[in-house]
Amino acid sequence: MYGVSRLVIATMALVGTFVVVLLTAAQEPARMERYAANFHGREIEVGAQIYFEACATCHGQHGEGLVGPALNTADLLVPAPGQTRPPRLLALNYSGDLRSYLEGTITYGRPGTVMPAWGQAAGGPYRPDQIAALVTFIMNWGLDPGKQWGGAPERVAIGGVEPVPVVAAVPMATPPPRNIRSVDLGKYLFHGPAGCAECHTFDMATGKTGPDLTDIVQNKGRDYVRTSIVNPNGMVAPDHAPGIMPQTFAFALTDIELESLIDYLENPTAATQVVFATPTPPVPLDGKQVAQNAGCLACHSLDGSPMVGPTWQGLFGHEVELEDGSKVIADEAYLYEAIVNPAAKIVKGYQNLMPPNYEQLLTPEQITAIIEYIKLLH
Amino acid sequence: MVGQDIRSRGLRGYLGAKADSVFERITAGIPWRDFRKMLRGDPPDRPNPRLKPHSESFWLHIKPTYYHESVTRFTHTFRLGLLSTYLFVVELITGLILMIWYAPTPERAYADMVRLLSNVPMGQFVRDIHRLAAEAMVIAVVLHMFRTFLTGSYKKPRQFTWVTGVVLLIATLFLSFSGYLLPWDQLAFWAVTIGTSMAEASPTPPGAGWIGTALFGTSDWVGQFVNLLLRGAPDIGAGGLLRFYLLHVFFLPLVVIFFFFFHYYKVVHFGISLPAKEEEVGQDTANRVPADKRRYYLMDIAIDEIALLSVVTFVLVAVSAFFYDAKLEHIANPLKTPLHTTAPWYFYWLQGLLKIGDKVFWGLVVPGILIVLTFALPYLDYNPSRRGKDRRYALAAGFLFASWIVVLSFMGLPLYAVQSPPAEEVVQEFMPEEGVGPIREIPWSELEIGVYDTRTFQGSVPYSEFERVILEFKERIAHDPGLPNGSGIITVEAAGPGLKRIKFQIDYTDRDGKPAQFIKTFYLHESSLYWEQFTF
Repeated sequence: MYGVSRLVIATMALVGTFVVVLLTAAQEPARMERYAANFHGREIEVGAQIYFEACATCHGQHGEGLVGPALNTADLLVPAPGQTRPPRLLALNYSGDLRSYLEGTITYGRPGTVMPAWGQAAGGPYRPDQIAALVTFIMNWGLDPGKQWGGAPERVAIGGVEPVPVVAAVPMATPPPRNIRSVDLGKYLFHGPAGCAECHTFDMATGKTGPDLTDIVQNKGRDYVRTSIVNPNGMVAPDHAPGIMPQTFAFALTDIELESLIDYLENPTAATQVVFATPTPPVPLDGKQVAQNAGCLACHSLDGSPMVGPTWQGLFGHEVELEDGSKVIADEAYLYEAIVNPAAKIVKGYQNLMPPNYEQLLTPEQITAIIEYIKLLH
Repeated sequence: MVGQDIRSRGLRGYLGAKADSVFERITAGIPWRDFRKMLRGDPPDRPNPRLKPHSESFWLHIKPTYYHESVTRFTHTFRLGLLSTYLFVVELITGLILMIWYAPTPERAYADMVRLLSNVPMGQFVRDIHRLAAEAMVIAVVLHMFRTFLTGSYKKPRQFTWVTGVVLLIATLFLSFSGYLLPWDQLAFWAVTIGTSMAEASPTPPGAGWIGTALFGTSDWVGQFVNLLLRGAPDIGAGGLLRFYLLHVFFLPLVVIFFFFFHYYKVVHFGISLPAKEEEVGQDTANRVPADKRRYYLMDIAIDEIALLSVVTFVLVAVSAFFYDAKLEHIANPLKTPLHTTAPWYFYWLQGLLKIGDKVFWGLVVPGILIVLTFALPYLDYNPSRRGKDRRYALAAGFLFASWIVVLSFMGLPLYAVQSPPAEEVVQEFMPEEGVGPIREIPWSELEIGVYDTRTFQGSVPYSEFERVILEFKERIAHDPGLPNGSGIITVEAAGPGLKRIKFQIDYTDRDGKPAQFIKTFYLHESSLYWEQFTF
């Protein structure tokens, strides 16, 4: 007789193998579904990285559209009623699906506009899989089109580094004529339709995508600048990657516009007026969100209940009694002062505990947004 | 003819004889009566019909009919050669299945991997087994060699068996390594880039420069030529992937199969060496087995092997199903070097060697000498005795060599790799570029939107998982000697439907006493769930 133990072990092992394989097989449909979701999520992450690196400067942090068209809209992302394609594609009479439309546009760019070709197939920096990931990220907005996601808390990073100040864009009355060479036209193009300011600065600042252009004409000469605009990959500045700057300016700009732009770069102070236009009106800020992010609501209640600071309910337009017994009306000026300089007027019954640095932490627009929100709390 | 047969034996006799002959053709000569006895474990008839299959059948003709009792003890060989062979067969089968869903081009390879994992039933399971068995095979082959060394089995007359074994060891290592590149992820791409860059360092022998000058226009040509041969281009791309694929699925398996038969023929021809103490020094009596010491292959040893391989199969399958997942990192990106690139673990010793000094000397000359010495071992070791007490120097050298390899492997660990700036290392610890890390382990919904500054952050008891990680982050920065006056800010923002932006910012004072800052931004989607695939 052979040792029974060997046969028993072999039989048990084979039965065990069979059972494990069956168990695994039974879980396969659920596992495959999970994995598909995993990889979809990762693709969105990769796409987000690319979007905020390369696209957000022109299409906006929220895809709301700046120099480039809006992307985070139902018009582009949600199929029209009774249709498989969104209205924007229907209007163009585009016969493919949304993914192919977006991938095609991103890969090959839009000749005649500042939108460059981003795909390696057309000389751009990104591989097809990266563009597919980017499109997945854009289409992910379609779950809740038009919604603005985040963005605010960065400004209240208490103790952090000063955020880059946002230059308020001043609307101009009339753009300079585009057929006459002028520094003003250059300035208008730089900050406006050509979109240069989205990536380039003039003030030795870093942190933008493109190189700083302070004294670029004086240092390198007009020919260098002209060549760099029409053929950005010809000469790439140190520490910068080729393929990021659009290669379409040769088509998008006339000679007069090009020379005007270089005139402006050569002597930016010669421009007569702050004349740049914003392509889209500034997005109104959500006052409640700002207040929440800034931490206001930790001390101020919205429902009349007493907390560390006075409640905001019914505050605006009403009389407030101060520490010294005097009374003031809580109007916009009072609230603004109360936020930026809390120690100036102390409300009776409260102590001076509010941080004095909100002027540094918040932009004037954000403070106004908070005041607008307080106005709503009757 | 048939009619005559039936008439002479009767229908029953005819069919019985016919059935017997079919049975004997299938069993290669064992009649069914003896077959039943064989299964029961009864002794064979005389003359022994169980020897016939060893001359009649292909698969059994390469197996000996019987073994010496002493060499069949498990602890004599640990059956490591059989195990290596079996793992190779597992690799062939699972590899063939994986090939169905794989195309070796940079455009498709990674997408095919994702499809295999997310859209092919049992795809991940087969991949896990393939990967696990590959690593197990490397271990089995190395242990097999070490066992052969310890028992002195490489000595006369088995010198050349050892040489073919070394070829198999090298082929196994390269089989495993060439498979590394195929998923075309970051891990694959950079491990292979490092591996092949060593080939690039090959020096041109003095006096051979003129060949390069004539053919390639440069006298320092050998490194470039080898590199071009391996990668198909100056850098790994479509050409390199195809070459590694062909090496992996065609050339190297062919080498292994060829040398396996070479190796195994010699094993059977000389027999498995007996335990040293059972024979006189200088004698080799493995093939002269006294009748009372014989253990027959059919069915005794065969059952041993079947039992062992069944258990191995069960372990492989169970570990792959429950404990082990082959990783898949992000798609290969030639423009982005990961923070810590490493070779596969079985080449850590080589990475350790490279840290000692010069790339050419420590990366090529020393390993080259090692390989030559390993090949030449049976011809250099002239001591005829296989007994441990006669081989003190050889055994000491062997153990010294083994521990040296272990130490070198330790030196090759990522732990001792070149460190990045401290702030980058801290962020890498909490949110690695690949894999999981503490932040990705936190459930997505618990990563609350907000700004968390380590200078002011307290958290509240009981700490949430996220709060605990922030406090760890705080401690980590505070105690890093490379980050004086260090403080960190973690910002969590919404960045899209089901998507959060996680920004790490570390402020510190640099060596010049100036304030410095490190910022790194990640995006995390609620369904990515990295930990699901990085369980091991």
